[in-house]
Amino acid sequence: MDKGQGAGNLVERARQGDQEAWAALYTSVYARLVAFAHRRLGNADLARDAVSETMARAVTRIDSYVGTDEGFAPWLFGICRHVVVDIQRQTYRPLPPGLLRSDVDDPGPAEVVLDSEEQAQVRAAFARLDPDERELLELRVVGGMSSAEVAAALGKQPGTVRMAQMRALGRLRTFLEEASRVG
Amino acid sequence: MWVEGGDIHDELLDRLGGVLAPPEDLELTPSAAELEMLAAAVAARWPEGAAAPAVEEADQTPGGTPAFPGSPVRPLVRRRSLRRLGSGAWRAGSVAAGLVLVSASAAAAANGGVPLPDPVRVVAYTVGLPVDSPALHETHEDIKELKEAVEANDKPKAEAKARELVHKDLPKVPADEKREAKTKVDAAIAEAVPKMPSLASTATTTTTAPPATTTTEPAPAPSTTATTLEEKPNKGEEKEKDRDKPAGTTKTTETTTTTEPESTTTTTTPETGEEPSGDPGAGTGDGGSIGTDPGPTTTTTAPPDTTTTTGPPPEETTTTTTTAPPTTTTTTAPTVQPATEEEPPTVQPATEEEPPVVEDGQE
Repeated sequence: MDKGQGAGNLVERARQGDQEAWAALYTSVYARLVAFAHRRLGNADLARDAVSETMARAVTRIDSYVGTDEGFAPWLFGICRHVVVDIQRQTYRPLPPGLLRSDVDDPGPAEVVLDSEEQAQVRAAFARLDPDERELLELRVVGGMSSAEVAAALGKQPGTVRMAQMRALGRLRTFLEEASRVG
Repeated sequence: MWVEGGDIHDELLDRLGGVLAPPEDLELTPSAAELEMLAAAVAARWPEGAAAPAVEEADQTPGGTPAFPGSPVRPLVRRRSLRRLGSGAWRAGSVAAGLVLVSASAAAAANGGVPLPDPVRVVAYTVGLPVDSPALHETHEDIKELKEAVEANDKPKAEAKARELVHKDLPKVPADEKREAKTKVDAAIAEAVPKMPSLASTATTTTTAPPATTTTEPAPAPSTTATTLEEKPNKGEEKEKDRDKPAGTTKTTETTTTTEPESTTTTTTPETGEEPSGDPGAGTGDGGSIGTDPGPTTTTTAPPDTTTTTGPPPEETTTTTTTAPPTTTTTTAPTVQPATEEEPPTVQPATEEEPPVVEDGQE
């Protein structure tokens, strides 16, 4: 959706206030946005609200969107990041200590059994990353974006994002190795 | 060096993806309500609307509420609650129906017929629909009751109603409706006095005020003093009324043209040191708020007098002893000045505690 003729047309139509185009854009990116927002907020309702707000802001600011190769989705993710922060402020909900799902939702008995030790280690290692690193990797993994798209969402240069991502993954790997040594 | 798409880090990303994946119960498609909200935002942004609402799916999951127009500063929490409110079809329906009812009945009432229930009136008035304010409505009701009491020759009730009108109802009426209310109250009391003279006292306070004043006032140095007196009673309310209007002309205008009120104010100003704006606005109102009549009375009289400030004195010099407080008048005048203080309306409550605007994306 983001790239290619179809998306371009949708964005152009959206600029004209075409309801169908907006609905199509919304639907196409919704899953990734809501997953990302949920990751950050740890709450399904808040996540959906964040996505709604993101779209509302997108509607009012569509004129400022300059179509790029990276497409429309990164632009929405850029808005969504700020919406998430706004929600966190407004709800006075402190960011979960670790943004890992295990920290947010306690796994049930079944999950505990099924959840491999390895996954637990990954979660723990991820929780040790800096907030910026976690966000970057979440945009990449949960948001399903490429490095270039993440760069567009963060308003940074693609090269900078690649380097940051490499560093983050390197640290993650180090943490994992530490964990396996201890384990 | 790590290259996207091929080394160990990609494997790590995959593992991370498995761990960070959203819970299975998280809905990954927008609900009909959310699509409706988007449609509402789009419709608000492009009022002329390019296309028809694109929410065919809306039928699948009823309960959508086009809760918000596309405003970037919309408070998130409120929207959330709206969305939840609309989670059930019946809720959305009842909210919509309520809105329709309110606006419809308010419109009907505004056109002059249907009585509005108080809560509806409050909502309608607050929302800005063309209905009488609750206070004005209350005044109307009390006038009606006063008339009924007079007809029934129920003296205590009539007196109580008269007092209530003057002391309780009128002060509550918003500035933009006060003139209307005042006129009606005056008329009602004046009408009642012949049948029930005991109301005169109340009436005097309200209606008679002007004449008395006039009397006391020494006609000679008329302009200033006289005027002041006359105005005194009005002031409080006048000010409020005139706030939005250009000059103090108001009622008087018909007869005397602009002369009366305007000049008066002007003259007085220097002494009192009032605001230069010339707006008669001053008197706090309450206690003296009763002096509603002065306006009308003055008006009639005015014409004969000089175009200058003289207007009031000549007239009905008669009774209304109570008014004696010419002195009071004088005093009152200054009080009026605080007009500036009344300004507070300017102080608007902080709308939203929106955190500092954060730049979105790469706009």
